[in-house]
Amino acid sequence: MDLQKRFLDELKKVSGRPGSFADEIAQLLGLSTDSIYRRMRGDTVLSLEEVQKLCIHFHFSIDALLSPSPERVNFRQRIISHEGYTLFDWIKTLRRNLAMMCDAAEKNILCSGKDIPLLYYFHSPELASFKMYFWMKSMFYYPAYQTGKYKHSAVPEEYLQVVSDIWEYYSRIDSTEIWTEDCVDVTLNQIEFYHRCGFFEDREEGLHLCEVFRSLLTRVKHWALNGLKDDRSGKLRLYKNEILLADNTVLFKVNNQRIVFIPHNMIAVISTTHQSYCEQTEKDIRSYVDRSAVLSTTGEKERNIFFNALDARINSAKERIAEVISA
Amino acid sequence: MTNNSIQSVFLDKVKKSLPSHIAFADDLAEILSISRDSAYRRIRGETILSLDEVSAICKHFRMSLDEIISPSAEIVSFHNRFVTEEDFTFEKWLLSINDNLDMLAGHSEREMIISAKDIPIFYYFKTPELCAFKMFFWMKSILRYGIYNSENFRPELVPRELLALGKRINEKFTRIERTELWSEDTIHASLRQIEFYHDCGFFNSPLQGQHLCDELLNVVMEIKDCAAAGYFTEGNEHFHLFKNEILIADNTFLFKMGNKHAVFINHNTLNVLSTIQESFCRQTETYLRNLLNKATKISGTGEKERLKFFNRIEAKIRNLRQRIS
Repeated sequence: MDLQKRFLDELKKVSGRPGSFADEIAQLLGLSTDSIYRRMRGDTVLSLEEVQKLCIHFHFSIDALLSPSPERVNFRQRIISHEGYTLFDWIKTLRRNLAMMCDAAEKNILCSGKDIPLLYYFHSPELASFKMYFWMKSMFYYPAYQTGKYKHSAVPEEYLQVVSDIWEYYSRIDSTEIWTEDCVDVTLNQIEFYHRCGFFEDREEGLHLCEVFRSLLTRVKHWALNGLKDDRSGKLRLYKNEILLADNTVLFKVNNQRIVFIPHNMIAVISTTHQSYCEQTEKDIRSYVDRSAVLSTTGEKERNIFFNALDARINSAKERIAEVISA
Repeated sequence: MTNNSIQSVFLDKVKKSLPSHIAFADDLAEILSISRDSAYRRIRGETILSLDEVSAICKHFRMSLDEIISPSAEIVSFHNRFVTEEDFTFEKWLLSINDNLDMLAGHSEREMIISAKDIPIFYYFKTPELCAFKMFFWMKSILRYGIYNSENFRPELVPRELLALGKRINEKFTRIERTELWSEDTIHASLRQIEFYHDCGFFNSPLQGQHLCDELLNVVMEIKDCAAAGYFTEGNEHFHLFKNEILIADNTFLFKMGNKHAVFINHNTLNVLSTIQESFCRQTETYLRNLLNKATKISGTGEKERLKFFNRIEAKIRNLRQRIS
């Protein structure tokens, strides 16, 4: 009965209202509180049906309890789709989490990415709109977006409001970010792809988005110079690294809690609060930082070379798009 | 308790994983230290299994209860080991890859699907110089092995056993029927690494970097030829190569063995998160198949696209070679 007690103890810890835990699960299982106490004492064995209900309710992994191992890391995954957990749900969750983070005394974000941390796109309504349209149509296959072409107004206004709030919160939290010269490729590639497929309502849209992207990067360069995001309170420590095969890992640190997010194949984000996993990931990212070139506040030469290189990539993308237009 | 109860589904699954000559009730009685009668009562569902008993069964048969009780759950359990200089060393990491390939190769019905942000590393293991370079790079510059701290790259610094193991892995890998999804950027990581060593003066002579570019080109050209043929070795194991227009986000390997799946997600360069959780594996498979549907096949057919694709990769390699000359 050892494990049953431990199981219920663990659930109590993650329960939102530990004070009335017995009532909460009595209600969930449709049993009297007395029956619950019998289960807590181990006088009655929980059936696997009951275990199932509890695990689903508390997002609890039973395997972690049954066969614990330091090598086992549980991730929570949220699959985004047009029904169930939608893109809109996801950005609302992100907004809520960042808002909570803003209120915390100690907070920090670490990211190492092959792509620009996507929060930057949320600074610009036009890029935010394009990115969200792209995800809904080409990543999550929203049926409503399968026909029709992209225009700014195709993305609901309320989505743009949420992501603008996200940017607002993000710009108030200190972050340490490792970028690479490839970090503009994903978005440029998406713009080119839409252009070639004729998915833009306005034929000039692709060129226009490239220019919007350029002005965003010009701002980031300026923020890097000052070491402050959007001239708000959040410090920006920007680094560049060319050799580490970065994937888009994000680590949020709030007081002493850590959570790591890993995007998996663009359709899902998996996250974990597994302590040793998060600690090791933080150690790794910090060791990458040590081996990266500083772009913020100091490192003027490196900063200019870096942003010029990004600029050149935008120019090449524009040339390729213009070729298609004139062809 | 009905036959559909989770307990009976669970025990049924255990039973099915056993060879037919094993008497399940005897096995169960032994594992749980109970009488044969008590085991039968549990199999029939008259006695409820306690979590301690479930745990003993899961450990013995390497079963996942999560998989049964929450097939569409949000919680996915991954196996993860960080590669380090002391504990789970680079060599152990290679051995675990070797084991995984053996596991896949041992199945009669098998398939591998790879979405490749970077060229699957196994290809590099074919030529000794390139193999040594990649291994040295990982150990010195990613894992920061102390012994290589002040060393420049010299192939002889990489232990022979590692090179031999790499070669074995390469042979096993190329023999497996597989589908790979690449984008033009798939070559970038390796080019960057060579360029970085050149710029940092980690080569004793510029010729080393140039030579590595040549070897890289050889490897890529061999892949091109095999893509044209549609197979890698003389046997008839197929090799399907697709190119993707939209950039590939990560390195994902999906193994299919009969109706079992395993997914390996490569992150932070060398670390691998793996899972056999069915729901997660199925979603990954659906996603990969969707990507393949939208991608262009450049093996077997699609000669023009294939040539264009590999010409661009070749140009990227030649550019670097010129730059470091």
